[in-house]
This record gives sequence, C-alpha cells and structure tokens, in this order.
Amino acid sequence: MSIATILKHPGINLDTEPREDRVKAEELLFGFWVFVMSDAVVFGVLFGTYIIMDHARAGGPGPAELYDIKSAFIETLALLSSSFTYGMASLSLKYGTSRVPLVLWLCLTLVLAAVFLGFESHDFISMFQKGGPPTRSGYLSAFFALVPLHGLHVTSASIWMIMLIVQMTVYGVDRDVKLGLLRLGILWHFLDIVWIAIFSVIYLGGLA
Amino acid sequence: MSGVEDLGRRHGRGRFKDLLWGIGVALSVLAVETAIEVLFGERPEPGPDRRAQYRRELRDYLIGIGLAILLTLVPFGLVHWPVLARSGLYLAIGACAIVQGAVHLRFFLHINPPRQNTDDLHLVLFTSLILFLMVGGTIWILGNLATRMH
Repeated sequence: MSIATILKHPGINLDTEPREDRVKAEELLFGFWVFVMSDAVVFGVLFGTYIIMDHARAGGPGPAELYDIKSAFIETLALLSSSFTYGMASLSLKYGTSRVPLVLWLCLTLVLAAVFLGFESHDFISMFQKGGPPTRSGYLSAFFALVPLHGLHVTSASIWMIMLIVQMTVYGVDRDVKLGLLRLGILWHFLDIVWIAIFSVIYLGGLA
Repeated sequence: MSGVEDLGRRHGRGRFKDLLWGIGVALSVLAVETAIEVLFGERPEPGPDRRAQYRRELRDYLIGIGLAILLTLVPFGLVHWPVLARSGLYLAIGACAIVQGAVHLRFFLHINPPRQNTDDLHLVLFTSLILFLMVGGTIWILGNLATRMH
C-alpha cells in the first residue's frame, strides 16, 4: 500500500486539493503520527511510574485529601468539548467557503482550553496549599511529573493554534496553514485521549 | 444519632446537587455548541455527493462526542455514588476508559482501516504493544518487589 495507490490518511482528507499537496499531507501527517506515538510512550511510562508510586506517600496526604472530583469533571467536559469544536473547525477547513467559521471554532476551542488550564492550575495551587507539593512524597513527585506535563502539552498546542490563526489572518488559508491545522488536530485529539487515561487512572482511580 | 443522620442526608443532597450542576454544565455546553453549529455550520453548495460526505463526517463527530460524554458521565457517576464494590468499580472505570479511547481514535482521529492507508493503524498498534510491555512489565516487576520489601 504505497502512497501512490491510496491517498487517504486517517483524519479529515482535503480531497479537493492538488495531488502533490495531498502527497505532501500524507508524508507530513504520518511523520506527525510517529511523533505523537513517541509522546504516548513518554506518557505511558509516567503512568507506570505513578501506579508504582501510588503507595509511596511517606505519611503525606493522599488522593482523598488532595483531589477534587468536581474540578476534574469540569476539566474533562471542557477538554472533551474542545475536541468536538476542533473537529468542527476541521470540517469548516474542508468544506467551508469563508474563513470566519473556521476562526470562530478555533477561538471556541481556545476558550475551552483556557477553561481547562484555569481549573487545572487552580487544582495544583490547592494541592500545594493542602500540603501536597511534588517534594512531599514519591507519589506526589510522580503526580506532578505526569499531570502538569499534559497541561504543558495543552498550553503549547494552544500557542500553536494562536500562531496558526495569526498566520491565517496574514496569509490566508494557504497550504501551510491547512497542513498545520491537520497536524494540530492529531495532537489535540491525542491529548484528549491522554486526559481520559489521567481522569480514569489518577482522579477516579484515586477517589474510588 | 438523628444529628448524624441529618448530616448524612444533607451531605447526600449536596452531592446530588453537585452532580445536577455538572450535568447542567454538560447540557449547556452541548446546547451552545448545537446553537453555534446551526448558526455558523457549513452549508457546502457544490454537488449532492459532497454534501453527503459532509453529513457523514459531521455525524461521525456527533456520535463521537455523544459517546464520549456518556462514557465520561458513567464512571464519574459510579465514583460519586458508590453503588459498586471496589473491584467492580475499578473494572467499570477501566472498561469505560478503554472504550472511550477507542471512540476517540475512531470518531475524532478517524482511524478507519478499510477505507484508508493502514500505516498509521499499524503504528498505533505497535506503540500499544510497546506500551503494554513497558508499563505492564514495570508494574509487574516493581509491584512484586514492593510487596516483598514490606
């Protein structure tokens, strides 16, 4: 199955573009999948560390004292909705005739990401205040290696999105913007999958 | 005694209110999204074929978000109201997470083998194998060591 026979990568295919652009998209997106999967290994190994460290509390506070299920629930809903709004942005990119809905969907995605990051930083601050900084125990070191790393990814992806919106308003929706949006989409939906693992293993597993 | 019961009941009502509040937030997010889709949603003009394709892809995203919200509400609800024993609860949370991960891969990332290049699917499957070996091996070996040390 070479590129020549099937020009359909996973995801939204921009199938009305010129053939050479689609070949380029195929290459770039596969390369980006390789990066994202290497990132998945990093997250996975940090999950392994967290699960091992779960009992290494050193007499410090545990999940029941530190986590807030309501906050985790709101963060989950914000991130899930942002995946959907990003999907709508992808559809606007493929089928839209003007860039207005595309920019609106991307801005809504950014707002939801900001809600997520706001609640998450509030969580971290309240964990510090409840006597759970990363230096307190092995369990908290593992927590703060994993969860803020995901938050850092969401932050970087948001900065990337802002840059793409700027690029789009200056140069229009050209090939580079389209390929950028397709790759950012893979990262965005992937970060949502990592969050599923975080809320299931860390928050729900810890509070169950 | 009655004071304790009263406290428990009040606490229970507080939890119920929290959950209602959460569901309210979820529904309002959905309502806002639907409204925006109706207002700003794309209406592609060329050809009935392209319109059908657009509808199909939109339907994929709608199914995806519907299933994702359902698979989020169920485990959060189960943790909030502990109706299951602990082992059953862990099992339910794990099952929901795995199904939700698959839903995201299929409906948001569109890993859809028969209709596309399968290189990416092989990449995802190979990475899953590596992860299974590394994470599973770590938990197994270090968990075993930890129980021997105590």
